[in-house]
Amino acid sequence: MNLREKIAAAVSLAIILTAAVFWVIQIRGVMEMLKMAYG
Amino acid sequence: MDVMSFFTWLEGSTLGHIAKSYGGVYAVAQTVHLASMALLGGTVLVTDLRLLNVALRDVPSNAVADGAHKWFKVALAIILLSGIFMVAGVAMKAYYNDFYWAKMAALAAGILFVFAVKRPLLKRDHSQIPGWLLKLVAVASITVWFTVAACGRWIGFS
Repeated sequence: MNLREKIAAAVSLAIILTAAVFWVIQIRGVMEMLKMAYG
Repeated sequence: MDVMSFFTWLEGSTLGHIAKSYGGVYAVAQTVHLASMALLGGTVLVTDLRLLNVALRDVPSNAVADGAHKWFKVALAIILLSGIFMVAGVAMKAYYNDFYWAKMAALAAGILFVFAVKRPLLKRDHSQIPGWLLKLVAVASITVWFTVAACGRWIGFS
């Protein structure tokens, strides 16, 4: 693997992991709000 | 000028005045914005689904990526121009909206990813690039543009 491919792999992984954390936090927030509203 | 001062100035500018005062103009700008988003989403999906070997398998992925990237740039330019107009009308509302900033962060990440990582990689002959890397880049690309679109919709509900 050359440097460009290594950078592409690292950046792609970083994007996927960051997005996964972001969406898990958002979905948990929505679930918490629904629990507060409807029990 | 800090960020808040800029947004205050933007809402009070001629652009902000037009966006707030002329509903028809705002509606047209929003329609153009959404149509361009559909075009951008289409170019992203057609490229990434080809890289994932899901769609257009009988067309070389280099040809798909090169052709789609031209329209991606057109769509992005129209999205940015119409987006600046639209935010001018609701600048302070956008400033205090967390999802507006999430969308801007995802958009910045998406633009940087396309022009600094994805495009330079895909300019090369795809048969010389490991298959798993093409698929990883495609998944990251779909993820970042999905986040931009979803955060954009969430602005309206938060």
